[in-house]
Amino acid sequence: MATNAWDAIIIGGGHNGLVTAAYLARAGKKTLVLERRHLIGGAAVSEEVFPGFTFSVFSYVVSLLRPEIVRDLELPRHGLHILPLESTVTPLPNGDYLAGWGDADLTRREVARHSLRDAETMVEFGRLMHHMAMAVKPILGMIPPDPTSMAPSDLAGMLKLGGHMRSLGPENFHALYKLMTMSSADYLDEWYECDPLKATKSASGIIGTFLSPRSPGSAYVLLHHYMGEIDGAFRAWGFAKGGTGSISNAIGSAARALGATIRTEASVAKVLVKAGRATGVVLDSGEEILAPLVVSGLDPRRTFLDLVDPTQLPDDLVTAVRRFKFRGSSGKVNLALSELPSFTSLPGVGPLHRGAVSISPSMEYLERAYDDAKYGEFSKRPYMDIVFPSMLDPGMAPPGKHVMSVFVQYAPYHLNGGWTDAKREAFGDAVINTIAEHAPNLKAAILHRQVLTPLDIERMTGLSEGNIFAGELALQQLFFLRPAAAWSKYRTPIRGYYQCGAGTHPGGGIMGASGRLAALKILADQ
Amino acid sequence: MSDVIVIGGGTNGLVAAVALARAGNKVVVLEAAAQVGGALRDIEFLPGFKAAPVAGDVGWLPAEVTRGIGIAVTPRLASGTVAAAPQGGGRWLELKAGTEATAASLREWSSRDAERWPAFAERLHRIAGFLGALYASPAPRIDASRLGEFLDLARLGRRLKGLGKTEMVEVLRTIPMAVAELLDEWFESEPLKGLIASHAINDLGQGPMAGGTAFNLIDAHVGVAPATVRGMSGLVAGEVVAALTARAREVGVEIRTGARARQIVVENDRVKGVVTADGAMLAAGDVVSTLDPYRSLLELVDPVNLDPEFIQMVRNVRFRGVVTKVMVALDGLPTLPAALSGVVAIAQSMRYLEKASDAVKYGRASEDPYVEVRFGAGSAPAGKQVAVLHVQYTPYRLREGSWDGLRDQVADRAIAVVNQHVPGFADRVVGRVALSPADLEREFGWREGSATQGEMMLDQILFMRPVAGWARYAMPVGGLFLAGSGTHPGPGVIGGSGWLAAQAVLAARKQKR
Repeated sequence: MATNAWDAIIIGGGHNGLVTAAYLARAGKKTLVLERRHLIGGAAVSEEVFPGFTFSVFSYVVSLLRPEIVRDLELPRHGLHILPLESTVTPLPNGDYLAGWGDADLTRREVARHSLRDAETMVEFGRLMHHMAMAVKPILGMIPPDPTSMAPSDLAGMLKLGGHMRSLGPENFHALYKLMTMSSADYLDEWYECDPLKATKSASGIIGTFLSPRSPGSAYVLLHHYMGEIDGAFRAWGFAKGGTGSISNAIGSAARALGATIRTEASVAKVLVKAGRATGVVLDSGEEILAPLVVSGLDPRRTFLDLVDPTQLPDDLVTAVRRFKFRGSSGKVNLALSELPSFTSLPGVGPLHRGAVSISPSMEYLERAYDDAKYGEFSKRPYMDIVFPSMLDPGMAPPGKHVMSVFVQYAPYHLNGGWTDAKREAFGDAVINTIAEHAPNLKAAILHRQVLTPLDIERMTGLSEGNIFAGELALQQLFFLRPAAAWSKYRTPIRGYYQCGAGTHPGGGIMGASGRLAALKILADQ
Repeated sequence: MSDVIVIGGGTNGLVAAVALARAGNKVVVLEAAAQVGGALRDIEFLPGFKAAPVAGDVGWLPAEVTRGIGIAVTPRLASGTVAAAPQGGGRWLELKAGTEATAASLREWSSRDAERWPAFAERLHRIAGFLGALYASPAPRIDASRLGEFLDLARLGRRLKGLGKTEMVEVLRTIPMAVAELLDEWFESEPLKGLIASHAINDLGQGPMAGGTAFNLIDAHVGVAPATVRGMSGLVAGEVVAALTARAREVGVEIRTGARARQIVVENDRVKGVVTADGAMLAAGDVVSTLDPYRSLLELVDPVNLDPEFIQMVRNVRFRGVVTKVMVALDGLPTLPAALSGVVAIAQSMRYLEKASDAVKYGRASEDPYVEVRFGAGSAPAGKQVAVLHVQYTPYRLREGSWDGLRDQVADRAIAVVNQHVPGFADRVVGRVALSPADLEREFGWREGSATQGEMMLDQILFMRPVAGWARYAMPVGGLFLAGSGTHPGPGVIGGSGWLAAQAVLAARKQKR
């Protein structure tokens, strides 16, 4: 039996879908969120994977969550509590290490140990990155105008964007242009000489993309990951108390408080379309739920090719979505530990366990990791970003025990011969063996391990090809081209059917910006 | 005293000199080598065997230039097979002059690709046409603040919009892509994708999987006959140089060969003239250098005359030559496709090219390089033949050893690789001379052996070429101009930079008066 009690249905309870739901509810819409899994959050979930051990299973850090969302939805009141991840330590093969600490002076002194010149440079570099982040931030909060369109709203948007660009001044504009077009390796070569420093910074440029640090276009992603770094800290990432799931839960709680309803274990099979208009959804169970507004928080492939019949869409759009690149390139290893790993270069338990440990000893190391992946293998010695959430939030593990989260790149979705259970284990072994080279006690400390390949990520979260950004953050997939020209403004060719996931501008990371902009667009269209 | 000294007698130098002399200026061209022509000049590498080692494709000669300086050079019409890739067992993948002919030849490899070919060729040329329009005028300033510059931007917008909505989107979408991604969208045949991609990575240190290489594919098709892909302009190097030289004489340009510029003299922030290697001071009102930005600005000019930030930007220009040229004397030709008029490319797949490019990252010469062979690239005694091998990736910067130790090894390996795919090639070789990136730097003055005076990558083109904020030929020293391929539009456009730079010189001289 069909029910028609809703103004809006949001497909997918990922953080963007929840943000959209909260804003729509706040505007008085009777809003229903439908989530396939038993818990909300999508790729931002905390789960007790092993008894007593809770993990941010997929996405594990936060830096880009839009402050206006935190404010508008009063997220702290709903339990959001961000703990700073203060440092990044890169262990080096010679037994030394390179560290960036929360304290800028301390970091400068540390870098000076490796290169006096770089220690001086980093002040200026930090200032430039600050300017660049400030330059890009307004763009992240903007519904992208289409430069190829003659529509008044697009022309006005381009004028506004042009005005913004001019306000930067030529120097900053050129710097931004370089950042958009260069490789992170070439970009950093212009500034730094210390190889591990360049490698560690470059590494943030390749996260979630299928690019090498020497490929043009990787410098932009560097900035994407710098956006949290506006107070001058080395890399101001944060970690949510209770794991990233608590961010989703806070947004969910805000949405509920504003009147939205969230249903879990409700998997949407199709969007119902009548005469070019969305009228509701049908669940896998066959249940039909009607609403004049349907918003997909899923990635573009699912939004356009799975949830609706592509033959009802313009050919241009279908072509664009078919060639939209996903190419998941990273995996995740979650470990339950009896004790913390002790790193040879900084033995014992110390401040490094309260921050990130980056396995990125040299540019060549990253290149070799990429070489494996581009020919269809997982990196035998991958780049890894490691955090110990139980050090910041002891509730994540039983007393005296710990959880360790390892983000691993590269692990191609399209593995030669395909992913199998054996390949998954081999991948997990490669990760652990590589870390154990720096922390010999690791292997003995492992109580349980969860290894997630891009294929696992796809199966569990629904993200196509396991791409953590719901589509690569490549230059040709950003702004008015995300996910496709003419369809970057959250609308779809089907009236009443909208998109709000990270596959739309600006996308990527636990930012919520796509969800918020989508809601604003929907409300403006009403 | 002359009005203008032009440093470098390559095509850009000659074009600039003619344009300036025609406007009534006394112009002297200083050429270090014994002949003018720069990259296009022939050298006799073995007795009786001549070739222009570095003139792969001569490039596009825009109508603006030929009209502007009053020359006429007729390109040969593309015919037969413009590019061929051996596929083993005597089979060749062939790209032909003419869309239909190519589609027909592709049918043997993939009927799907053959069907898609005409649409691909048409789109590629439409986008290249847009780029060509940009190459015929100074780079647009998109950090515009004055009204006139806004008009440039508006014109750019109109040109872009003239393409129609779909092409407009395609231009913006395609430029930052990897050529591998672009070709994967269109085709399924690996040999076809390899052959096309090899044109995009030419002279780059990057492989086809690197972002921005789709731009290079488009760039390579500016000025190429509309119905050919991976074709050439059809110009003959010797004819272009002869026409330019004759025209220069006609309009009273003084050409001094064997005259190497040692210093550009600057006093009170203004050029005074040029000191040559023999110590002579030649006074001039303006100096136009067609050498690369690094040589021109940091070696010929005393850096005390420049701002530290400007110096840093010039230092950051990336050259990174990756090509060894092997000139080969042959006593006959191996078996080649019947109507071959263009190149033979050893590029059986994009993966082959990508693997070859990996060597650059680790400072090694590739063991299985990308090789492009141009048969009949020069002149030879009766019954003999010349071929020039473009061997990539062989980086200027080696992690171990030096080019003196590696040159012959690379040449032998390249010949062996060609022989593997074109049986009988090695048996025909009667002599060879290899020019490594280090040799090209030494003998042709190319920084780091780079043929392009600065890699053609997205951050080094248009308004970023040679450096941001200085893309309009006039440099921060009064009376000093750059006119080489290190400036917009850059390599592949014959005289494009020289012509546009001359306009900037003329405008400045007019203002001064």
